[in-house]
Amino acid sequence: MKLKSLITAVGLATASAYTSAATVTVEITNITHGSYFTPIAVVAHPENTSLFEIGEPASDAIAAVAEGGTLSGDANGDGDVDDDGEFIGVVEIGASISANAEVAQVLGSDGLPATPNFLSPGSSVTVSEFETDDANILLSAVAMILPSNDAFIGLNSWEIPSEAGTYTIYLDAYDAGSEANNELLAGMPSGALGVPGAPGAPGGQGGSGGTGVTNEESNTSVHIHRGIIGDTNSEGGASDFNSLVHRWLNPVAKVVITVQ
Amino acid sequence: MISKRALFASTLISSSLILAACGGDDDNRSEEPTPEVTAVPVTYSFEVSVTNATNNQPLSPVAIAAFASDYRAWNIGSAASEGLAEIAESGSPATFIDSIADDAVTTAAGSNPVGPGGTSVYTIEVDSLEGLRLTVASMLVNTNDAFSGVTAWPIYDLGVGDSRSSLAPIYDAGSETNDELLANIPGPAGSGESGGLSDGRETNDFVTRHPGVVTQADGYSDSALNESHKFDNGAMVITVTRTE
Repeated sequence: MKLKSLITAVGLATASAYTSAATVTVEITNITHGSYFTPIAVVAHPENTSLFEIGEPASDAIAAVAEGGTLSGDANGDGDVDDDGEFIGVVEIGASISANAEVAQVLGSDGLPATPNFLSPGSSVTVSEFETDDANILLSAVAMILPSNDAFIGLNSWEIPSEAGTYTIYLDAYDAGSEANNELLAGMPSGALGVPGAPGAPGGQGGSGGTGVTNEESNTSVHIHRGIIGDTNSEGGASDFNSLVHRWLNPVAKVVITVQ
Repeated sequence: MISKRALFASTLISSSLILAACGGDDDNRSEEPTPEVTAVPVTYSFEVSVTNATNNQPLSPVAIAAFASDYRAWNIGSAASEGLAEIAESGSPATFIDSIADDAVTTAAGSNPVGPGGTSVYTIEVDSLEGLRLTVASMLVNTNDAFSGVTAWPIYDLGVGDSRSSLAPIYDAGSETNDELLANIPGPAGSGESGGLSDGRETNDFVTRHPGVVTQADGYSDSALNESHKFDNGAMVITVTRTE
């Protein structure tokens, strides 16, 4: 899995003498009441790189995470994630930088019951004793929120402290800005990037027959998600989501990082 | 360039602080009979101030408890205790206070709701600071089972005059479905449930953060709530000050 390809370089790298290998344990808890997370990528990467930036368009790889929970980075499914122009991040991906990024673990690949392995409300998963390289001093994590069109949880370039300890971080929900939030369930897969449609409502409380909340995504940059609208009509209305079940308030995830 | 980390991640560093007790003056033991000394009890006092930060969600009479342990009154992903569910569904702290009375160092309960914008101050007294942690819980009464508070909140490290403050998040007890119906909301927006718990538990029978209320204003015509009852995270400011 070439998850390293999610990484894009941001800005002009200023060389830093700061390097430090670390052993980190990352526990992520879904603290929402009725939303699910797709498998989570936890990534250690170098300074001056990031998976996403607020105010910048999402890369295709991040859009693929946000729209379909896909972690391969292979947004168009052609098996080539490095050089086929799929990445539309803030700056072009630098091969030397991406090669240095490490994927800790795709959470959900073990310790969770079903396939696909969704992280249900109130549940936690842990990456234990992830050894990071000297150069990879930043930690990020991404996963899609279900049901949604293109919502994702994001830990954004958190600098791994050199001091041992336990650090708690709460994550907000982001909107990848890559797809209109029509809130219609389209099944999995939910179409090509940018085609509106939510892949599923794992809790089973989604509806059908909605007319669509909107067909537009006026803000095509990554931004804080405005939340789910939903409705209480399971066989019609504007949304296929249940307003009493599928909404959330930020934060949506709790991350406890133990640095040894 | 502003650090994105400073903008997007709030970091809490857990640390422990060891309070060293002063040793007695045992250097010069004499053969003289030691006069009998009656130990003077030492009292440590804390003021707990609760300010309602919501638009129109009165907070039920506040439950307060101090523990000499890291006891948690709730955990994300775990079912709410009966006492906590009763706070969250009916606003009554009585069952909760009863259930923890044996384990807590001290407890206190408010006698009146704290209205939006209002502040109530409670005092607790203990005779030891060792491991002292605070739990505060209160219902947002115009909801099915929303509550706000802190638990296992360290106060053992506060010196006299020191204080600690938190904008407490809003949790869903997971004990009652968020139907927003008149009969299931004890507050002024509703009509019922002041007597206790609803029957059974909802499907998601565990504590999480609260998803917010939908209300009539957002298209749910059966809701007993209107736009004024909506909230975002942060229902109350809790400030604890050591006064003695």
